[in-house]
Amino acid sequence: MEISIAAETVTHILGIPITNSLLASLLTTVVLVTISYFATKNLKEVPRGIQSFIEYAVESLYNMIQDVTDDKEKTYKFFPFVATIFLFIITSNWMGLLPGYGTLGIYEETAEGEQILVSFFRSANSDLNSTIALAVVGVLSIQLMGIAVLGFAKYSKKFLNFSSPIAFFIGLLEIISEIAKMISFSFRLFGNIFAGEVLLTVIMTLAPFVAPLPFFGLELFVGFIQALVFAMLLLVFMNIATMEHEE
Amino acid sequence: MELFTKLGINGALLISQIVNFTLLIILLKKYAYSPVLKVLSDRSDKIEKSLEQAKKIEEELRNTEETKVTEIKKAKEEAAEIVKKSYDVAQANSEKAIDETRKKTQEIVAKAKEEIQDEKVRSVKEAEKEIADLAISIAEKIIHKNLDSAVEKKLAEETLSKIK
Repeated sequence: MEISIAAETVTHILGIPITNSLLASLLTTVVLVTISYFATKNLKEVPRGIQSFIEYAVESLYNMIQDVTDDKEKTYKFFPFVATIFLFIITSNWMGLLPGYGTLGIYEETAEGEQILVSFFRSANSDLNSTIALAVVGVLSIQLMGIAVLGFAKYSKKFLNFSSPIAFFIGLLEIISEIAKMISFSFRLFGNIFAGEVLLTVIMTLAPFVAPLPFFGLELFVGFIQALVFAMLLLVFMNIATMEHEE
Repeated sequence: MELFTKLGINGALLISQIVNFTLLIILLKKYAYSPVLKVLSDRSDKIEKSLEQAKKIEEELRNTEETKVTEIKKAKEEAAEIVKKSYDVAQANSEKAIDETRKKTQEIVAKAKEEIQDEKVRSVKEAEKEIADLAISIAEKIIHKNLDSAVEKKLAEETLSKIK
């Protein structure tokens, strides 16, 4: 039983270490794009099969965003970011529970001469690189929405305001708070999913049959909740960033 | 930097994850969100339109029903009026006809009476004349036979006076 916070490197391509969590992210991407490609290949007036499913998913997300923004234009702007964050996180979290994740791999020798299993896939969000990437894209998209809705001049005043010393100081605090958002986004998601992985590994080592089942249920729930929390927070931050400030 | 390596944070990996995720956003927007949202909004538009149409049709139906009822009422009233008018006309006509008939009948009756009267007078005159002729011939015969007889002469005279 090896538990490492860092994702294991499977191979190197062009000097970039290809980790098992990066492979899992790519797999999630491929799965999502494939499903959406085939689901929307020929859309029909009366939905059937996979089209109903994707319509349900898109419509639920749309309604969730519309409930928060209460503004159709904003909803259309926020939608791709919030929906993709949600779909990516929930898909990779649930795929991380599939058999083969963390178990299929090759044995490699460490520097100390130990044999350790390097699996091909590791739940994408149990690697800080993926969660930080999500958080960076998320926080950047918040700024993007602010600029798109309010305009650059108006939005930048939130961070750089020379009208008074207090306003300037508040601007500095806003910059710090954006960085804090990135950290809280990434570590919350990483912490939850990594903890889940560790928990499952420990339980499976202690009692491989039946006993892990309730924990799988728990992890399904946590995977959904984390996706929802990330998407909801992003949505709320976007909504706040695009609100007009009364001076 | 020690912390970063311990946490497994790696610049190249981070950037590749960011690129990967950005790509995912673009692809999903192209293949999932845009087409599905379009279909959804088209559908809701269509439903809204059909509902509106249904409402309109219902209203039209109600209007037609109303006009139908009023039309029928109006037609009934008109029909009643026509019947009444024609009854009145017929009544007047028949009264007039009866009057005329009565008048004509009276006229005919009067004429007939007059004619009867005339006929009566004429026949009386004729009868008088005939009787007178007859009397004269009888008298002539009697006179020719018994001219001498005073009695018969007297009788003839009496008869003559009676005729006259």
